[in-house]
Amino acid sequence: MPANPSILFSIGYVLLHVLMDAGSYVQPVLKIGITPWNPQTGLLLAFLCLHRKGFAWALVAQIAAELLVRGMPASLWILLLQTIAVAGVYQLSAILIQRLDMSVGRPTSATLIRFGLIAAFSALAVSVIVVAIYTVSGSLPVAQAPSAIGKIWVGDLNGILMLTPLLLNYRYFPQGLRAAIAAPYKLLGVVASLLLAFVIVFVVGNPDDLRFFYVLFVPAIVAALAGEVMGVLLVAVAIQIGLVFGVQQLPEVAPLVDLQYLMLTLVSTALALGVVVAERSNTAAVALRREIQLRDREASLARASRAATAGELASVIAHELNQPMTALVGYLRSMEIMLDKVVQSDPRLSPTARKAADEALRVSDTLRRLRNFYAGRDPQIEPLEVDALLRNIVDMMQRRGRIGSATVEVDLDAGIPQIETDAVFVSVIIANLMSNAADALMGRTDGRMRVVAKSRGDVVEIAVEDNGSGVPERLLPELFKAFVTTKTEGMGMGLAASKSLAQALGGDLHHERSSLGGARFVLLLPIQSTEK
Amino acid sequence: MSELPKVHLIDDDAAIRDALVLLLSLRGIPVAAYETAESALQNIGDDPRGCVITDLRMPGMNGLEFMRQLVDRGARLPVIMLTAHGDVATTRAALRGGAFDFLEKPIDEDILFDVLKHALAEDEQRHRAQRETEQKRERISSLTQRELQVLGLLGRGQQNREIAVTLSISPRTVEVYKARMMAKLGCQTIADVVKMSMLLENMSSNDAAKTS
Repeated sequence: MPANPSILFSIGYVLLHVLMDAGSYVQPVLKIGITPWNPQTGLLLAFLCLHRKGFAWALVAQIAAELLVRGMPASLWILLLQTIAVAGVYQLSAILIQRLDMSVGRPTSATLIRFGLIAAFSALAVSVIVVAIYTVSGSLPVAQAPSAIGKIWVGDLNGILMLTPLLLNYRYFPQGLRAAIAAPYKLLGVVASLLLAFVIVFVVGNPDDLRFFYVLFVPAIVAALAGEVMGVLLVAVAIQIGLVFGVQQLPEVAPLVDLQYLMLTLVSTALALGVVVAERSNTAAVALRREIQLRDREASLARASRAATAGELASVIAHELNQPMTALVGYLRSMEIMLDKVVQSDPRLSPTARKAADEALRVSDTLRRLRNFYAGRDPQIEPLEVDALLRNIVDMMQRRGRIGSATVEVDLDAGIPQIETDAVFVSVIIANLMSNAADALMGRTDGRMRVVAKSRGDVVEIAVEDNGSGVPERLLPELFKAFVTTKTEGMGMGLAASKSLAQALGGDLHHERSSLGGARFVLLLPIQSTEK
Repeated sequence: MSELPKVHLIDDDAAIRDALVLLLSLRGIPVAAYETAESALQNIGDDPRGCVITDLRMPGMNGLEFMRQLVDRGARLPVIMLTAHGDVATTRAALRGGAFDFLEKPIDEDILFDVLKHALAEDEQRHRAQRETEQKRERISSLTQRELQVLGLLGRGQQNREIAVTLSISPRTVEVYKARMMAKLGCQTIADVVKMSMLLENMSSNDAAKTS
């Protein structure tokens, strides 16, 4: 909302205010502006919400309307008093409404209820004050006071409920129009049902009989079911204008004020329904977005996990092949030296030994490039909440069905500080450890897994443990080496890759026996990254 | 007594040990090879000569820890680390830990001998400096009480007369002690004497540190 709209904006408001007052000056009480439909009040409130310093303009608009529409019905002082009181009350409610998120894009029922209460109470305050002024000044007989209060209240409230939300969202008008044109059948349905309803109420039905009024609910509810809050408001305005017009044309129709109470019911029902429908579809959209986000994250974790495995594999292969290559180069160079010392039967012997050594060096160079290619990315260090990270991973593993029937406890110490680390690396490690634990618990009905985290000095310790059968004794010495596995379809890269990732983060990974009976893997991570 | 200079090679891979021992001995460089850092620590004497070539990643004690223990023992051998290629982080750690240099596997012969030449030269220089200091210390310890006193006072910049007053002897006697002391220490000039007196102060402060 612009804090200080232009003067043109304010002048436009004044003109519109006068026009609306004139257009809705129907069935007044004693010509003193007490009418049962006050759209200008909705306009006034919207203007005060949009223009923080609009109070003076609100006074000008009201006085102009009194003078032009009714031609000074009471003394100047009374008019002034009434105007200031009305503008004052609505100024206060504008301040309250400014705190609400009134954009039609994200309607919530909580906002609607607050807005409705503010509108109802301010309209009540205004009607009581105005009627009191007229009664005290003698313009209004005391006997008529209660009904006058009711008339003003229902008129102001209808005006506010219909017009204020609509006008506050004037920026969405083009967007709303495009949406309406994009769905012509919806639009046509609403317009057709609206016209039909008017025909039934005023032409077919007995105009004196209010039963037919309920037909008017149909178009409002059609708009509401579409989840279009703005559409609901426009339909309500159309019904209201139709009613006022009908009442003026057909004198035998029930008094407008009775219709206005029905109108209030219609507006609040349709508005509430529209907001609930929109809210629900918004919630569904948010849930869908979150689901997509989660799936993306799982996919990126799986990718990172594969990359870490490939990197570890390349590194291990390169290292293992490089060892014999080193010996080979040494032998060949030695051979070259030895050949230089003996009388050679073939002068090509020594250069051939050199060429062989050069080829061995070339193999090593290829291995180096292979290793660098799969080395994976450098860790991206950022501050991280251990708590949120671990809960996310546990949730994800459970959702993926990777835990099986085992129960998972998460036991996080209070006061674990933020750590500087790479979220994806840590996720890969923890997911891997949990996966191993789940495999160890497979087929057991009493499987338990525990994820524990605590801080110790300048490191955070994250442990994943289970009550499985533990790591076989014979595997312990080379548990973190590549190709070591107990699983028939396992490659034996998981722990090796996890340890490499942990070390890349400046931490480490080691194995202990768990107090639960199975294995316990402890990941140590530095609280402050040493990477600079 | 110090040993003859040689290369101490540590690698858990038997083929690498064998090939490098062969290569180095063909170049006339004496080598002792060890399978583990532990056995190297046991077999390398208290006053080793030459240099060390050790693998960085080994089961049991790794190269870095080995280097640390060697330094703790007071052995000042240049240590050359053998690293797997691209092992930047550990290489950096090795150099920070005081390694003389590092070699990537597979080792390029030319670089190997170049690095070895420098390492052995440094060891030679260090050894010579150590020998000289030892000789000087031996000479200093051959001085009598009076000669030591004269050396100390000369080092503080006192003239013969002042020394005579301090020690309550005649300037003539001071001259005699001074001449005898300089002859024993092999000093030609007063500058040599001052250097010697600095070594003397160093020795006595070391002794003080030991006794306290």
